[in-house]
Amino acid sequence: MVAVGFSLHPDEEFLDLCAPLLEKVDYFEVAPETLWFERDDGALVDNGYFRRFVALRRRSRKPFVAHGVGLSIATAALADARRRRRWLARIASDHRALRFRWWTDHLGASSLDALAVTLPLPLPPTGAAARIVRARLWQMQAVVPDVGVENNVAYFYPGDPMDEPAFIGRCLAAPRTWLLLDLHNVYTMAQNFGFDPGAWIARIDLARVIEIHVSGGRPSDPGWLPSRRVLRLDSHDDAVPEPVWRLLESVRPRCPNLRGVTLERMEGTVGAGDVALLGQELRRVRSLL
Amino acid sequence: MTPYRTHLLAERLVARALLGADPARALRRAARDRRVPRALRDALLRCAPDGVRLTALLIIRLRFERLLRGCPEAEAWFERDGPGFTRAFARYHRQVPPTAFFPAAEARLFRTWAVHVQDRRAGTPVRFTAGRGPRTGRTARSGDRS
Repeated sequence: MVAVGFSLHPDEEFLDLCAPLLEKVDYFEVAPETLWFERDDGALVDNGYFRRFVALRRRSRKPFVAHGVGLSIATAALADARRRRRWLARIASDHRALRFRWWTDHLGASSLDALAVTLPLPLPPTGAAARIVRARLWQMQAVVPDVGVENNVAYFYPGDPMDEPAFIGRCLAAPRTWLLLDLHNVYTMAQNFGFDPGAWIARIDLARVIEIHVSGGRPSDPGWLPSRRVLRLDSHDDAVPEPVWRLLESVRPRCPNLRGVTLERMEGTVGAGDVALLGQELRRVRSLL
Repeated sequence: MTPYRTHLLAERLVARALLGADPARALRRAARDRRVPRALRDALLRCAPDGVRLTALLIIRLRFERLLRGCPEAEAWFERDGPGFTRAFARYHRQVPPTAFFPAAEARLFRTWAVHVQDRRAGTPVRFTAGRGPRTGRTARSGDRS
């Protein structure tokens, strides 16, 4: 059976508002690094939300999955190696407490040349990049046996975005390495780059999909760019758009190893009036599985 | 140049461009540099300028949010004088490489920078002490989401 999940964020208001939704889902997703703080000596120490989520797991008996942003899977810079080692050690500690069913991070670099750019960025989809990603996934598998990458959202791409599925395939050559297929990322890139999201998905090996993400976003402000061009943002701050629902309907039956579909919504974007909508979206996800 | 070294060079060029004053122009300049391997130059040429500019803005915004989560006195300054703080933050972002991955470390970087600026010019509306917490008497909020 494919499970329904919801992403949790370390935010008091978000968790209070979304408390009724936690009963409606089968698992929870967290970004492990949002549950840490960095001490002055560099140690990554759990914060209050980490303990809160450990308690939630015990109380609810529902599993957790890990979906990070900050490991920086496509980074090769040696100057960043020590940070990545600390990150992996900390995830191992988290895994002992939260028993992640699987662990994914974005297919990109959120640390470039040891600088925190935070947003996972695309690097040229070369054979060397695929080797680096495979090596990183192998390191992750020493912590959690089932690991993977999420197809990233990027606002520029150093190549043809339609070649990205083949690159993803090269990254996921080893057993128990999976794809988290983020349908809003595909939709957003399709809107911004002008391609057919269905054609992009048709190039993906859907047997590699372990999880699907659905979420919403908004257009950028025309004043942000000198050209006044508006790009769609993967901002997780709005309802799941109809084209993303249609993608879910079409892709779900073709993913034989799919284990979960997760609804994502950013903290700070949920008001009391949004909780009913999120409940409807969770029900709609379940109806499609 | 080996493919691995080319990947490292790509990281460095993209980082330098996105953290610079004109990211799209910086990437175009790198794409014209004949010392850069041809395949990488071709890849950089494919990067849409508007997408590069938008990405650079999002990186700044994420750093801004990271700082405000970790630095109550910066947040107080922003609340008191949004435009003034935003101008100061833009200078900070240009002058200080983003080596901090967590709010507390970003706050330490900012405090060190702000003390340096205070030493050179009067008028910073909040007193900063290098590497320490605020002197405003405010209680630190969930800096690292603790």
